[in-house]
Amino acid sequence: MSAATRRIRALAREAFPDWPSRVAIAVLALVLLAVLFAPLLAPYDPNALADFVRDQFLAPSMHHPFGTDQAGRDVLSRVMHGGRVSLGVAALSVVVSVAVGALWGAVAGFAGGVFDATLMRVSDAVLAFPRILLLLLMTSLVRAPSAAGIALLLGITSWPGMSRLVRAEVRHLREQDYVLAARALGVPWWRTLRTHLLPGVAPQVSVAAALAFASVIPLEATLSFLGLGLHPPAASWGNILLDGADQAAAHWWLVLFPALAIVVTVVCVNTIGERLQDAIDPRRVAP
Amino acid sequence: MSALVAVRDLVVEYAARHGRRRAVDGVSLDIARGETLALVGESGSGKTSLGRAILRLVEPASGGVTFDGIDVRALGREPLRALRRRMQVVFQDPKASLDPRLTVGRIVREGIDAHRLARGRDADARVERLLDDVGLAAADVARHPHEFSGGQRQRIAIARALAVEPEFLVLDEAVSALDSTVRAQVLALLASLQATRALTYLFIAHDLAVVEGFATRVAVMHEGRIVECAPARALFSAPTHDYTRALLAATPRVPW
Ligand SMILES: Nc1ncnc2c1ncn2[C@@H]1O[C@H](COP(=O)(O)OP(=O)(O)O)[C@@H](O)[C@H]1O
Ligand SMILES: [Mg+2]
Repeated sequence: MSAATRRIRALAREAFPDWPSRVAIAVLALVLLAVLFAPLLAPYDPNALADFVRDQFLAPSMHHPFGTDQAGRDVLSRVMHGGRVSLGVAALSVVVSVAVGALWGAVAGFAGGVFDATLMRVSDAVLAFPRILLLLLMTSLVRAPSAAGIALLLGITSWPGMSRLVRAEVRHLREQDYVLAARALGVPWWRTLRTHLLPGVAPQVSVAAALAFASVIPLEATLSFLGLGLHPPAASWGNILLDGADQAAAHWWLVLFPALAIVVTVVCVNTIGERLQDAIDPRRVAP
Repeated sequence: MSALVAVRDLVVEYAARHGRRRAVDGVSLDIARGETLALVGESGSGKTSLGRAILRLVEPASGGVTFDGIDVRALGREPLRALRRRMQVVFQDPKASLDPRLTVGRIVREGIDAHRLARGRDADARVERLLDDVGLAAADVARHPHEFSGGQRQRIAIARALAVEPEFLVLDEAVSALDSTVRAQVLALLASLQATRALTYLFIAHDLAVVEGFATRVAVMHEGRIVECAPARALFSAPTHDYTRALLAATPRVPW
């Protein structure tokens, strides 16, 4: 077993010592599998136009565990497929946020001085503006955005937080003797950034990415629920909620299951993220 | 003999809460090629700042530093980078000075890569030779710093510094964190490296005991100034400055 695998195993053992985190991992794994393999696993076509006089508003049963909606579509299949959109958009937005935020923060933290001040004022300005407002503004400018477009918007409204975190961490690492040693060796600054600083912030960034992922899922749902997100038939969990909202009083399953999907996923991701955060607490000595 | 390193009226200041704090207050000294100049003084006297200013790891407020006749302070980015090959540093805390995420091989290679001294298998061979030179095994390239003892880590730091084939080494309390047996071993290694590679040392210590028998000359630093600078033998037998006497009196005379 290589040193790397051993370290990952040790970290995993340390990070997930208790049953809540293990349950969270198991449940999240189930959700991800169900969502990822929805085309293979979903019992019905999520958009099938069924005989909706016969199939409309069926309560949960053996045949339709999550019931059916006003068009007679299987809610379980819709939620599974919707997860592909919701989680895909969330993941893509996190990638955007990490890519922009990490680079921005790393360069600012490493350069220091006026350069740092300028970059940070820009990210402060974005951060100071309420994110939901920014999203509402931007989505109102873009008519019928695609999934990638939504992900991009969510990403570019969340990178400033990421950049702050990375900057703080880089400023800390920059003072380490091994960075000074690299400078004394004549290692170019970009190479130092790549070999010492970015790998050094990777653990913190992964945790922040997990937490950002958890926070962006409900945000995307909110946008879709407000009709500002994706447009049908590309249904995300938010769209499914929106579809069911007006019949929720009589047909609870239309909103309960998509809402549960959101809550369960978010809680699991948050639990895992927080445990990881404890495990990589910088106050603890590196192995 | 002209000095390899010449420091003139060097001043290093740091921003402090009220104005500026002078860490090095007008120091002049010469370091001859091939000698070991010990720089001794209590903690906070400015030794590290002086060493780093010579290496231009901190910018002095005023004064001059020349290395082999080159004005270190006047160099632009690329010439400075080239000069860094010729002067290197080993820090006190071998835990902090080695990146915990990298293997020993990558740590030692850092300077080789930065200056493109070798690539591929040549670079590997060079790293293995360096490890051998400092008393480590070739197989250690794949291990991480935390797998080594303090003395071994300091050997890794020495190998990293030697990788760029420097002429001058600042040893900033390089053995201060080590216990006496290990310290003696590392000092013996440094002495033998100096002989085989014609190195010049600026050997920083807060403790005169470490210096005796190792240094050619000793400079005593106090509150940012050099209060006495003399050949080691003379300084130990007949110190002229009160501060040196006090420092000597506080030193248990156990030869390393
Ligand atoms: N980066 C820094 N910023 C501010 N003050 C510093 C810094 N480095 C050193 N000093 C101060 O300068 C003085 C000399 O420190 P230093 O050169 O590290 O001395 P020594 O190595 O002899 O212990 C000390 O008072 C120290 O607090
Ligand atoms: Mg010091």
